[in-house]
Amino acid sequence: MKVVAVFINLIYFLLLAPFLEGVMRKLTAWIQSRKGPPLYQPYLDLLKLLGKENLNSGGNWAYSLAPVLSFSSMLAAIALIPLTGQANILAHSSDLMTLIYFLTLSGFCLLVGALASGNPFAAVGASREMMTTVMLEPVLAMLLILGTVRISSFSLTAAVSGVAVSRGVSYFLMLVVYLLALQAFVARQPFDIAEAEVEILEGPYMEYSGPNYALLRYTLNLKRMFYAWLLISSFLSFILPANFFLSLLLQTVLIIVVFVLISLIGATHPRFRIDQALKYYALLLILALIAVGCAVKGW
Amino acid sequence: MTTLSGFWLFWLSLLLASFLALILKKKANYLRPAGTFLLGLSCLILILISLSILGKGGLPFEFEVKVAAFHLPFLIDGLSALFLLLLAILTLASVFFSLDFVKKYKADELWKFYLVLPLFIGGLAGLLTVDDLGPGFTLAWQLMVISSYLLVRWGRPVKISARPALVYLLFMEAAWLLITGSAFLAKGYVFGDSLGTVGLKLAQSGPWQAILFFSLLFLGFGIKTGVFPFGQWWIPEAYSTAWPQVSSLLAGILEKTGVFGLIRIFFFVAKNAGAAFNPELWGKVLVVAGVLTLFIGTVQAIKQSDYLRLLAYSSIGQVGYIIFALGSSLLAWNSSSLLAKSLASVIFIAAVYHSLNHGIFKGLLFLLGGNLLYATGTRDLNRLGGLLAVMPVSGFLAAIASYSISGMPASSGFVSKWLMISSNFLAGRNSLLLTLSGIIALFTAAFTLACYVKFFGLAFTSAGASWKLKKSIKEVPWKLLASEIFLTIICLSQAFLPMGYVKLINRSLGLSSGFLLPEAGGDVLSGNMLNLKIYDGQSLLAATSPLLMLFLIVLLAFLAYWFSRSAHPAEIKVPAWLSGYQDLNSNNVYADRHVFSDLKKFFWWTGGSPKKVIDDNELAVLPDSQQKGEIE
Repeated sequence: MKVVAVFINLIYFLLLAPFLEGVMRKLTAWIQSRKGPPLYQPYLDLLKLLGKENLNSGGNWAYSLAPVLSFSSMLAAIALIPLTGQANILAHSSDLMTLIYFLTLSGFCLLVGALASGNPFAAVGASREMMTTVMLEPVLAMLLILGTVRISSFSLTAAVSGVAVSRGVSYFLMLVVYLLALQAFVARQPFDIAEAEVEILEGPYMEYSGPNYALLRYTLNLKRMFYAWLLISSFLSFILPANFFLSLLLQTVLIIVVFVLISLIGATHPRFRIDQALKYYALLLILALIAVGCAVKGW
Repeated sequence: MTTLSGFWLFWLSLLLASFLALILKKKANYLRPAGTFLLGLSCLILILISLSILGKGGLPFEFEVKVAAFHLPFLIDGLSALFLLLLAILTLASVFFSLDFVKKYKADELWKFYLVLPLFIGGLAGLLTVDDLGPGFTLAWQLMVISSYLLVRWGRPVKISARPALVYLLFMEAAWLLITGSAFLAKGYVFGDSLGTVGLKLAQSGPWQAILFFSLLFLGFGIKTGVFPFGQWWIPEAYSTAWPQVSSLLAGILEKTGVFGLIRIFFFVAKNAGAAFNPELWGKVLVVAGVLTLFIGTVQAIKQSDYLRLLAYSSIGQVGYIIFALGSSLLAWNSSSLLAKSLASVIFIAAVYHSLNHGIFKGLLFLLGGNLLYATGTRDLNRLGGLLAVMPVSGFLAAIASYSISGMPASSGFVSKWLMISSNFLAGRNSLLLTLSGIIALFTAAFTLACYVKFFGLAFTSAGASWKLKKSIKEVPWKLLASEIFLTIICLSQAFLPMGYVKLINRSLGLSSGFLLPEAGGDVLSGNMLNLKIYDGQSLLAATSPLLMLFLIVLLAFLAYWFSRSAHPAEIKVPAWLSGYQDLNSNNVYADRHVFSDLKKFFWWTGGSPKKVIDDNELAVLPDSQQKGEIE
């Protein structure tokens, strides 16, 4: 069962992630008075991209390796997570730092790929993406450390479930911080600064096409779903039922709700500039630090 | 061979190497191989000595040398042996690297290098073996300081190097005054007492003398390791001025002798001092100093355009991690919780582990910086780019080194930071200071990553080399690469055999008498050769397994590759889109000064803004007045 859990993690995320993009696109279209693509459109997009030729503008191994590693380290992060609060076989040799670093590695590979493409706009995007990572990764880390402080264990299961063990000041403060950071985590407006389609033409993704681009898109979808999942399973872990299937079902519904929220905010907000965003992230960091401080004090 | 005769043989071959440089002044072709051989030989002897102490049946080795009226106490225990091993390995790589690297030097530079380098190595080895704060320490310290001063001074043309070298000398002499002076605070101290005796005498002294004693030593060794703000005053200038193979030793081991000194004071002398030592106070001081150092050093590193300065600032940051861990270990040991007490030794092991890791990968990175300098002649990241195509091996090694220092999964940096940070959080869950500093340490890891994405990305990938560096660039000679591959292999072993290294450090602590912490944490930290786990009784608190992580990533990467290539797409090489221009030019290149510009502005208050990078070959061209304005 513990081995199967790893595969369930992977399959659940791989199957659902493109659908969530479909939800996002449909809702955004509705808000903009368009009809919008069908919900299954992202699957078709992925298939179509797989059939296209693979363009290489960098001419080096770093360029072609980056999308593959970015995708695989994102999947590795997903393989670790306790999907319905149950630890899987990998929990014996991983903990929350492993998860954080797998997520970082995924972003890191994208950056190296972008820099390797030789495109100046991609480099602009990579620089912005890195600045965002530097400021936002700690917020994710602090959420998990909140759980660690509560339960005194570094394991991922404890950290995720520990967040909602007691719901005091620190819980609500961290919830506010996470909600405020969510748009940035999933790289949607007003924080899609690194991609910024109309400004720097999708930044890091710019030179990628065909199968490589399919991998990067898929990675982005998985990443978005991961952050929505983390919101549900850490802050709302107390409402999830013990039954595996019921829990998974409720989780899925809640994740879709989170994506509705993301789309609504995304469709109605203009983009920040990176310098404005950095100030915003710094505020989030300070609030998150206060939340962890409160947790240490037991509030 | 007994340890003592080995020790004398080591010194003999060093002095012989130095002497040869004097004789073979004009004959560079003989001097290079001869110097390399003798230096290499002394390194091998050093390795044998360390292994004989750390190996089966080894024992700490103590002896006295009489010089004039002074008795110099020497002590090679487990901890010294461990650091001597690091010294020998780094020197071996650096010396073999120099064999071809120094071919570019003029003859008068070359013999000076071989004259002073052996003395420098001897000084470092002396610092790691003497066991006093008096005459022996003074001898070793002065040998180390004066020789490294000369190496820094000769690293670049005098116009650039005079000031950094002088600043370096002054700081090191100030540190020497602080350190040797401190011992006089112990009641009844006699110049030349061994460290253990100093500790015992300190226990008899008043409380204020004790506090002053530790303050002076903290300042002295703090200057040496580069604690904020002292590090910023001399490290960046000195490391970027010295020859890269010397900087590799400066960052790799010279800094670590400062760490070694801090360990000796706060974990050995402190034990003998008993009640005179206040672990709560000094734990806090070390944690705060460490966190400040690691954060500010790393943020400043991001701002640099000169890659040698970037590496120098990042060394300050990494040493901050080590000091932070030492403080955290003291606080954990002093806390009332049983788990925290046993985690104290785990955090201490992490500090030593990180010292070894940082020694290896920073030494490697400086040598790779030497590669870049050798091949391109420029130290400015703004002018580099795309070197992966022409220097594939250097690029690959730089990728591994950057990956390791960023602490990404399945790297040596990850293992030591994992040990440090996870046990810090577990031990300090009730302490606001430890939790918040742990978060800052974790937060700074992302900055380190940004720093090395920049270093690797702008030097080896991205665009640029083809248009700015018109002269053809080739991969560096194999001897340079071989010494780097040697270090890379050690770096990888540190990543994938974590328990092996933990056992080695444990063993070295077992072989060091008078260690403050109780027998290193065998009960909380366990694991086989592949993974590390922290247990509290039966429950698993934290675990990591670099090999499993690597396996997971590689397996999933194959899956991803298979998935993405399932339709057998055609691979086509296309030119990159250059914002509508035909070629790269100054209008469409994204150079180093643009990268992270908003982040750099946001953290303006950390200081350390970069200066204009001047290459050696430009120095001859620039008019005098312009030079002055830019260097000052």
